[in-house]
Amino acid sequence: MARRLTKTVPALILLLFVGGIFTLISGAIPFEEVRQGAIERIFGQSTLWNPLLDERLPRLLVLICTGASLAVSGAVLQALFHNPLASPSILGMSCGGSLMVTVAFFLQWQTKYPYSIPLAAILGCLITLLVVYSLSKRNGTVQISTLILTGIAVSTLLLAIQGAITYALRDHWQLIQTLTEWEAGSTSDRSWKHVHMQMPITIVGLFGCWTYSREINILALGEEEAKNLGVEVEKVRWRLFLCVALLTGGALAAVGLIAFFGLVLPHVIRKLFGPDSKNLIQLNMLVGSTTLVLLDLFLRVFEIHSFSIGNISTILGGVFFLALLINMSKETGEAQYA
Amino acid sequence: MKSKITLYLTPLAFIFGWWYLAFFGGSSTKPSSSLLDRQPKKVFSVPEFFSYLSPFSRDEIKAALGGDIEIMTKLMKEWDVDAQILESQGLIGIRKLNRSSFIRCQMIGRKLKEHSYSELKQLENQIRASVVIDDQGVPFQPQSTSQKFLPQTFVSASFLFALASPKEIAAIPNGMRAQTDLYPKSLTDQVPLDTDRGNSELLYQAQPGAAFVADYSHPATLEMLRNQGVPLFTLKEMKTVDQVEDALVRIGSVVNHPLEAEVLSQFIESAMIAIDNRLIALLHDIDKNNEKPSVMFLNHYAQYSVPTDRTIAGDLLNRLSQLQFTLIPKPELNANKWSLPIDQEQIIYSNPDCLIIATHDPEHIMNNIEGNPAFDWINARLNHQIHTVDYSTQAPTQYIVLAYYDIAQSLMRN
Repeated sequence: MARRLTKTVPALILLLFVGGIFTLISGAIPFEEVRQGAIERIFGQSTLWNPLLDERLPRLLVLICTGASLAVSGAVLQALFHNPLASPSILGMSCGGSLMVTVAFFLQWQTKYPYSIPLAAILGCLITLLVVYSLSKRNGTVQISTLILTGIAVSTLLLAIQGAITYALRDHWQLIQTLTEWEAGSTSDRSWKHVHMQMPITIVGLFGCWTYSREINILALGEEEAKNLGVEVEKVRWRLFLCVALLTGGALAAVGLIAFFGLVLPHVIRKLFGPDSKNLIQLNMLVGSTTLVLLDLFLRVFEIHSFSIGNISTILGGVFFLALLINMSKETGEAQYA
Repeated sequence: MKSKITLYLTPLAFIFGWWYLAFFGGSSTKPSSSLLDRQPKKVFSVPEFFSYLSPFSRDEIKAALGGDIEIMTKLMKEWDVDAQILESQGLIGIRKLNRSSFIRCQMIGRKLKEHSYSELKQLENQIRASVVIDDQGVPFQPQSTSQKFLPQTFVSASFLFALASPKEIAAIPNGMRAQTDLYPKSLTDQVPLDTDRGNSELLYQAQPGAAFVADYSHPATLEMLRNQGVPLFTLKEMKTVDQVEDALVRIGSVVNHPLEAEVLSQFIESAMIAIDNRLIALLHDIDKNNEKPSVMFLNHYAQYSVPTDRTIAGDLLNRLSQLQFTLIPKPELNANKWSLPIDQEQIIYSNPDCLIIATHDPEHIMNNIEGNPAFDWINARLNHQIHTVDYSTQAPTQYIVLAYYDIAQSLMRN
């Protein structure tokens, strides 16, 4: 496993580097034209808007932050819930963020307050987490099974409310179109505004998860074992949930809905490199960022307009997950016959 | 306790501190405007002889498209004279409505104004088709008796409001009442029902003579209408102005208003020609210098996109292209997508001299563009030629004329 890690990590770093460079040099305006302007800006000889510095670089940073956020969120939740199918949506956070954004669009806050959409996404995730957590408390403690059930119940309720709002708005086709575009996820026209909105949240969220790597490792063994080993289960879990809410909200705010990303990648990484979360957090950051950067590059280079990055990641994630399940059932079947 | 507070406050302070510095902490890192260093580029200039042309009021055109035959015939006459004036200026390519159609519309207009029943019936009988074929090839026999009709789609309801009296409309699609700009409340209030699926019993009571549906209508609704014995007239999605005119004439025959439909259809044709003529005149001076400003037309929801010829907006762009306007990107023929997303960098690289954005939120778009230094790169900003137009007129109804009018007016604005 360690050998695989030493081979794969440099390859992933190289892939991310290459993907990043291609993201920076490819665009509608030829690189030669933007390079000079960028150099002048960097050396203070110009203050003009530059596509490399003001469009491609922010997009790359948003992609890196979002990929890392979603993959790490999924990895942390899968470890905490001892469930390979756990993802940020299991606690209703994605649904909460999405609902708040729908409300913000419905009330047309985005026209009056430019930052209302990202803030709505982050607040939606945090509020949902607080609600789910407080509803799951029984006699001052939170059982994982209760938490999952409450999360599913709250998600269902939030989805129903969102469905009701969308149904009520079905004749406002302009608004429905805007919502559809937002929900599909997009990396077009990302600016420093998006970077500034997401970056501090991502740093705090990732740092929090990394700090608790050891505890995540122990919690993956089971709560009783973790308690016996001196882990303050409730406290650690709550803090990690907060970190996940920040990561999910930030990603939702910056790019929109990208389903399955937080589900498939951590699962694959665990399969390939084992469950040690000390490496799991860093690996998920790296794999998540690299995958999202390459996916975006793929869509741009091949000019695939029919799919958004949210669509394509969901499709790829779904197919990959199905293949994994089929493979698993085959292995189980073979093991039974053996 | 103290350490707990520090633990939660430190990240919060970090996040809010970052946000404060980024969003409220001065603009030293923000790229600045480059407008001062650059000279205005090519722009359209309205020729002096435009002052001889008729007023070309949007409100009048809108009223005519709403079914006012008197205004229709008046405008058609004015535009006919305008065309002659433009021809006298030596402009090539100026068109007029077909003579026989023009005269016939004027005749019908006069008779409709006089309410001369017998003569109207005679004219109606001349043009009423005994069988009208819908878009699924189903023949439909129009009745000459007065009936109520059920427009199940926005498009057919829009046609019906222009052709028939609201009393002849059994119900209108949900949401149409909210579009007060095109369909005034005083008009929609006269129709008691919405085409809500929960209203099926009330719709049955209204006994509509026909329901106008589309290939995208809800199958359960279609089944319900069939079960109620309501004949269905299907209209597929329209992608060109010609298709709109054709559908209008067929609907007019079905709802027993063939004369109104004929005049409105010819009015649409006449209005499009009148707009074309003014656009040709706009290019007149530029042709001499051989420098045509480039035009970019975009739709905007959450992001920018260019409509293709699979939409009626694409048909308008093709029309502009045929008039020799330099459109960027060039209209794609037989596109397999409804629109092509375009990002900020592509807009900047295309560098249009005039940028027209169709949106339902013009204020928001203009504020965004004003505050976005990226747009300083394009000539349109320098030329003060970034305009917004109303998106709601882009539906394939008679109001598509207003969409074309708005585009033309944007080009004519100095």
